[in-house]
Amino acid sequence: MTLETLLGAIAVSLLIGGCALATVGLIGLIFKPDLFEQLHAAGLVTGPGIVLILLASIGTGKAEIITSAILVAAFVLVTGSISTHVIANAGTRRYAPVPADGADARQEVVEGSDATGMRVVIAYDGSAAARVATDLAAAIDWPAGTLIRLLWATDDETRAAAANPAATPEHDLHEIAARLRRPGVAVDAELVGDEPVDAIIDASATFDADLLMVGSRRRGVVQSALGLSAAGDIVDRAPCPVLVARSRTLRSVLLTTDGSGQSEAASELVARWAIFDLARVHVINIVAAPAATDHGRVVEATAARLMDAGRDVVTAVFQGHPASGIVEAARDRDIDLVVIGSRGRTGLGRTLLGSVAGEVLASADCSVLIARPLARRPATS
Amino acid sequence: MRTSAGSATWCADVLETVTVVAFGWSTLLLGLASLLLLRAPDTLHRLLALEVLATTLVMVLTTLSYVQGVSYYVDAALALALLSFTATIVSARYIIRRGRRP
Repeated sequence: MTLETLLGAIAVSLLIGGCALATVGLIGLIFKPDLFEQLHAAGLVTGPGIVLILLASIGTGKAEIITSAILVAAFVLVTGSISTHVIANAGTRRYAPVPADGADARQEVVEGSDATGMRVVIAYDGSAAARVATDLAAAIDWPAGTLIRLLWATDDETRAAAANPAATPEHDLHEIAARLRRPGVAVDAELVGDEPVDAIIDASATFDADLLMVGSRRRGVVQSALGLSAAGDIVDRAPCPVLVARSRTLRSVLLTTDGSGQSEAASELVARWAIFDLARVHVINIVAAPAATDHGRVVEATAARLMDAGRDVVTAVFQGHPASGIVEAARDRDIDLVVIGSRGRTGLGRTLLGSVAGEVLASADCSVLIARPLARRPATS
Repeated sequence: MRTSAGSATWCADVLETVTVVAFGWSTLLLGLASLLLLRAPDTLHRLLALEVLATTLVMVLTTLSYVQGVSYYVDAALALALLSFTATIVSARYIIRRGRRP
């Protein structure tokens, strides 16, 4: 037996082995619906499968082929684990792991997060508006186990306009953290760099926030219309519900409902979050045309669900322009917080505010909470 | 210790046949991987499917290189592996930044 035939025999077995492993891996990928199990199967394809086939290059006997193949094999070995890690990392942020007993994964995650408190990010930039947000946070009765992260994120314009431009962030943050801390609530702080809006969005995503609180700097009408409001930009891009704070208490809440999916998300949020336990919830529906019976029914259904969750509910249906009607109702009833769903979705996945939510956000006197669907989808759709 | 010419040719034939079969089989796997891509229910599954597709393509290029006896297909496979790895990393990071929305 010559070296050639030996190498040839090795190459044949490596080729057969590599193809077999790749086939098994691909079949596994097709039949497993869960992302993490798929990662396991994909590891067969991108690991031993391809490396064995590349190692079979020794059967060709040509130096340049062998060299290139060894290079590719080395690269694939090194980067395969990195790729798997980043996909798994993204997967853990998106999906609850499928429980072994097949129970509904979504239910588990939701109940778990109730029991262990909320994860809140408060964006603070030293301005008076941000002060309002932190005052509101201090007044809210957070559930036990809540984690609050204060983000110091500012740009030059805000710093110049602040009451005391020379004030150091550390002093402010210490004082605010001291006010927010209480039994069951942990507070930490983070200084983020320039590009405050990007930094706040990134930090919320990394922290896996349930709620983002920001102050509202009212710029001129023109600037708001052109989308230059920082709060509006944050609301557009945030990965979680955003509370734009304009009031210092949370005693009364206005929830608008029109039966759409987004308002379902808003009412689910009000029903589930423990911070609304002591608030009075006004559930309203504003219709452009004379009130038909089904509008009243939607309100009643939402109110019934909220009362089941233990909320103190008042309902109303009336006629008027949706956005200004909401703002007026909030003013008349001395509302501290309007909860409204966002609407619309572009192909890039960014959620733009529907016109009603946008107008309410711009013109309401009180805080506005933009609700987004909260549930984490289970890995199996 | 040379064997007879006949058996050497037979071994070479087997190797050549297996290589050609491996090339054909890799192409079939490529079809399977595309099916996986089409069936992916959401973004992360598609990301994984694309990575597997690129890897299967590297397999196809490699076996083609063996069949033809030239090295440049493997060089192309190296470039493809590099780019697909970078694409996976960047896409996963983008998905994380976008947040929890599907």
